[in-house]
Amino acid sequence: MIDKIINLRNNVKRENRPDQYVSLWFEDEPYKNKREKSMVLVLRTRGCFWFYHSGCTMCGYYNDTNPTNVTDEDLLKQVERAKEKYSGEKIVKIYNSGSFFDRNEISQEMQLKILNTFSDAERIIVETRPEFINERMLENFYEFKNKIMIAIGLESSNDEILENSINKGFKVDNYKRAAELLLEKNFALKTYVLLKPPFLSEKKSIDDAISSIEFASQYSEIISLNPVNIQNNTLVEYLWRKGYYRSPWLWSVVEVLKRTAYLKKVVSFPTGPGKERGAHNCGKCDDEIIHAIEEFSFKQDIDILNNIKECDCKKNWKYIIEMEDLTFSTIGVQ
Amino acid sequence: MIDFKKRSGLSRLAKYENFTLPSIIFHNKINNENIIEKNWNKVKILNKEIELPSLKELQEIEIEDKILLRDDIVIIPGLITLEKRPKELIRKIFKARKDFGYRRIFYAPFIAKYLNLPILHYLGIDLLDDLRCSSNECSIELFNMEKMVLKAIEKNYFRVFVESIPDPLSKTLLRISDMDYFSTMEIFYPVTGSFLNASHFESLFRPDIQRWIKRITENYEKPYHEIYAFLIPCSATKPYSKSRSHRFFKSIIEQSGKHVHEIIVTSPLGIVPRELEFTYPAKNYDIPVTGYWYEDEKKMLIETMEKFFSKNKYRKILAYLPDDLAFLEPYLKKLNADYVIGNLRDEINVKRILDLLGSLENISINKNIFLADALNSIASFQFNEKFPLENKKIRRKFDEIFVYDDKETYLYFSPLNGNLLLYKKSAEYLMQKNKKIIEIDNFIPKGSIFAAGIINASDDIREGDEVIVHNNGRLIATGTALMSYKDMLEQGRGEAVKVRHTFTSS
Repeated sequence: MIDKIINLRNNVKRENRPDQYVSLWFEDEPYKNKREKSMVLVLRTRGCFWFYHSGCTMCGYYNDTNPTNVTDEDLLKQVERAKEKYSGEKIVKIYNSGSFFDRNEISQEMQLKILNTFSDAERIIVETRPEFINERMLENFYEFKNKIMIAIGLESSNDEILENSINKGFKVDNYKRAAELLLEKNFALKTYVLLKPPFLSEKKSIDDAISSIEFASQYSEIISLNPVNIQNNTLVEYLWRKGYYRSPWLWSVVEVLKRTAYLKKVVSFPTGPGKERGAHNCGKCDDEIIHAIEEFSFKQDIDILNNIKECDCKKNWKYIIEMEDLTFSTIGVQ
Repeated sequence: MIDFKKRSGLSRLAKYENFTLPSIIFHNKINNENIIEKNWNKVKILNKEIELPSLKELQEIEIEDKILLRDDIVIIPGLITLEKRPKELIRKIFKARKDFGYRRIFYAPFIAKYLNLPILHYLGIDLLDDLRCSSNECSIELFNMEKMVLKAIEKNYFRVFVESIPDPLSKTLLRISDMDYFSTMEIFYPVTGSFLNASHFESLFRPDIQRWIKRITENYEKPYHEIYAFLIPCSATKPYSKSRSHRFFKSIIEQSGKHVHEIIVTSPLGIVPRELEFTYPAKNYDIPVTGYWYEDEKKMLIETMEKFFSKNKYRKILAYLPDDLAFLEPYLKKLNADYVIGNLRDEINVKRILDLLGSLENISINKNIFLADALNSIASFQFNEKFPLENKKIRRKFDEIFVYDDKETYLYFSPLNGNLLLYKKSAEYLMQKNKKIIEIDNFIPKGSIFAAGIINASDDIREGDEVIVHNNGRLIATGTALMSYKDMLEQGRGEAVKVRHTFTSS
């Protein structure tokens, strides 16, 4: 599997634009039980160190990383350009196709500088792998303690799935150690949980997402359920083209959200919903369900999910849930 | 253990514990047998607990196209992903066959549908399921199709049944198997049979028909002393010689007083030399006759004739062909043949044929020599070998032919199946040539020899073949093969040879 991931990764032609950020957009974000405006900035760095080993089966962010080194000066240019677009949104999300706290991607000096640049925001969300969270490093960010939220992609609380479905490169314990530390030091944690990594049937992926959410909920202020979308040059895309992968059903997203709604902290904003590469149903009822999922994510009201109208394709979904495990594969039935 | 009953091509009728193969297993509850039961990470198939694949195995299945082996069951997952790439689908099935042999049960999950079920069985999948059926109605349809398949295998019309399925994928797979996997499929087609129904376009490419053409063009040698070939059309009645038209040909040949080697031109077999008219499938085929020929039939016919006449040289070729075979005219010219094309009701045509025959020289050769030549032509077709028949006594009784060496029977030609049957000395002769030989342990078989007792079998043996049984080079018996050499060596069970004669060491 790892060979295949590397092989696919080697075909990628990356753009060399060290002083340009990847993208920037505005979106609503649930924050303190309200719908708030946020700015999302994706910085261009050398990218996640794990790409240079192999990478996760579903992650195509490597496509947005820079083939040569990105200097502090380059990063500063990216941030200054982004700052020009900023107009006081309460929330700023700063992503970098890797780990914000990995000094090989962003030097510690730049980490602080970036946070300072957006210190007008009430909340700054950054992403990192748990390996980069430790007590000494957290001390440097004490002044941002009430401002930053640290997002970690746990994906699954099952080590076997982390290893064999996702190739995540860390174990549940690595997450747990980081999460406990953040809890102890009063840093807000956001956890990403994956819905339907490869080699899991629709049913097993629902079960795994639910138990992963329940596990992560003890440490997290918020949990984002991320249905896998099919990104370029990934193992997932390879399997999809071969007929062995179908992105999750929206019914599965609804199922997971319903069964974890009691936690009142699970949200989901699927990427490319209703499209073949994103979470989708059969097309007839996608829009309505996508809307309900979004509404629920802001309001945490389970009735929104319970009131979704039945639709023809629900019986297809139920049938797949029932029999997919028997096929000796995880075939992406449409 | 799997109890082998019989084959039709790669599909195999067998008993496995209380189950009949081929079979479908059901997840919809439409009967109480053959239910798939899921239990945690196991599934119950044919009363066996089969472990579902682990994540690691799923990686291998989905990235590397791995085929699973659980117990005696070879599991070929993911064929459904290849529905749009039938060449790869069939390659995967034959790859599994190559890797896992002919004894085990082949199971392809999640691929069967009403119209692809017969071809999947035809390609040797023993076990299918109804996982693509979300409704009971669909499962019942599969169940009914399965019954039809079982009956077709039992009654020996499975091939034509598969040909008759109106489904593009089914036809595609059948045609690819005929074109690309002939050498494997052919092994499992008997060399005898009671009836060959060649009703479909695909019938042209049946492995037993293609084998006929291959043997006629590659193995067969014309009767040695025949120097004049006379090409004539086939008749609907089989054997041809019992038909009105062929009795008429016989009468005008006799009337002319000349000796010719009659060669019948036909579809889908191409060419049938007179002495092979009793041999399967020449005696047993039936096709729709319209007087119109498909391009593929024309091409097959000309190619077969080209190969045949480049190997078998005659001093002169004559031909009488009806109008619908007029497309052969340019080829006859190339052969430098003298021919008449037209209707026989037209007296002038009969006269022209007589003139053609009359132009030949008289040959003064003993008719027993012609008979011996004909037997060796049959032998070249049947065994790819000829016998030393000089100085042997030959007797003909209607269509039966006996050959004696001193007072002992040496060979017998049976018009029942058009085969030569072997006796002690002819068997010993062929044994030296390593043709159609089976080695068994040192015992004297009674009635039948079972696959379990077979040590070795030569790869030219097909079901229905006349075979020689020996132990360590000592002739033990002759008989009829009831299965191909592959099954003798790999099934390990079932009746393999029906013994006709046993020879004690004396």
